[in-house]
Amino acid sequence: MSSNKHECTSSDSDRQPGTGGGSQHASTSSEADQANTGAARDEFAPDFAGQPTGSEIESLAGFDPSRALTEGLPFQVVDESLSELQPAESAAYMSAESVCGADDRVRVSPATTIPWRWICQLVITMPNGAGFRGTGWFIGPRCVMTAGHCVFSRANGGWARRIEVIPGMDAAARPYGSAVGTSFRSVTGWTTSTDQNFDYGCIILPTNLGNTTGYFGFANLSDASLNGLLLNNSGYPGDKPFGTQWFNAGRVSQVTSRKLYYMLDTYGGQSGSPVWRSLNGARHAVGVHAYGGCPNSATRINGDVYSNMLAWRAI
Amino acid sequence: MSAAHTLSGQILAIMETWPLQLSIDADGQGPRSISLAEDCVVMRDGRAVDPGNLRVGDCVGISGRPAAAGGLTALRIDIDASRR
Repeated sequence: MSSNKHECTSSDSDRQPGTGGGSQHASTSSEADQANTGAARDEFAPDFAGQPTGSEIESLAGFDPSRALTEGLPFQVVDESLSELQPAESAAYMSAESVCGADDRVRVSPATTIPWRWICQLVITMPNGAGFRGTGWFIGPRCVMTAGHCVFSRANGGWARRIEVIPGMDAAARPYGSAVGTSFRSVTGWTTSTDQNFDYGCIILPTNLGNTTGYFGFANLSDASLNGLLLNNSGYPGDKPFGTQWFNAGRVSQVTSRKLYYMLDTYGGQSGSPVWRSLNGARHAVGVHAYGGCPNSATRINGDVYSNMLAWRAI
Repeated sequence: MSAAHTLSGQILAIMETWPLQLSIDADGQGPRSISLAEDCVVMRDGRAVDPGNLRVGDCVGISGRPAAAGGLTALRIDIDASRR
């Protein structure tokens, strides 16, 4: 524990004075202030149940993986197959004229197989009564990872009052029911400083619903491993019928110590959704999607985030 | 009912909840949090457009009602297409 501005610890029952106190159980966790430049070596926390795919892009009917290989690139990739992907040579893919391109999201239906059932529709109620929808994903029996602004919004009164978590939701179908979380975690870099570099948090559920659905692994990858990496993303966008999950994939276009940028298609409602690597049958989240506007971006799971996630998974 | 508030500024960040939440550099006075109402109307060149058209760097005019901690719930956003 250090004494920098982004650190504070509190018990599970602490209220946060001046931040709404909308939740009986909300706390912030330790995180070093100085930028974490990523792992010297990759480190992993395992997923709960993986299935071999032999591919870095999830296999989903109707999704054209060739677009994911090139979207955001200023040039056409030639002779590149899914099974022979090479690390990108450069992260300088963005240009001023970039848009996120054609919408090639594909609906996930049903969402009862892995990894889709690990992903949850969130129905968020803030202390001032404002309602939002977002996306979360299991990383443990009781822990659902999401964006910081899904659990804490200063502009809407502070900590969320309640969040309903619906794993594998597919329109009207709720194959695993739902659970309501009123206990949340984030870090002071978000709750105090509203710094988008620290925009992540989690929901602690009152039940072990994650033991039924399973959950994602996660990884703190080095810059070299992340540059140009093909990422998967799936969530619950607000421009589609309520409760329907949509998938997309694309490459990392830029890496900073705390953010990942990419041109894969997302939309409002997908805040908090996982961006993950699928490799050799294992699925490891490497970021928490949070921002749109092209390029879109995630909070990177660096060493500090990884450590907090390990602690939150163990709750 | 609260009186309508207006502000203008440049979009710094777009948080992808639904409805969206924005961080705006309002009139050069630093970041300010904006939540779009579910029925917020977004206009560009006199036409209603999808909120998904908002981009970081857009200059916008916003009218809405006050929210907690100096925030604003946006009821209408006009994108100034001539400035970016």
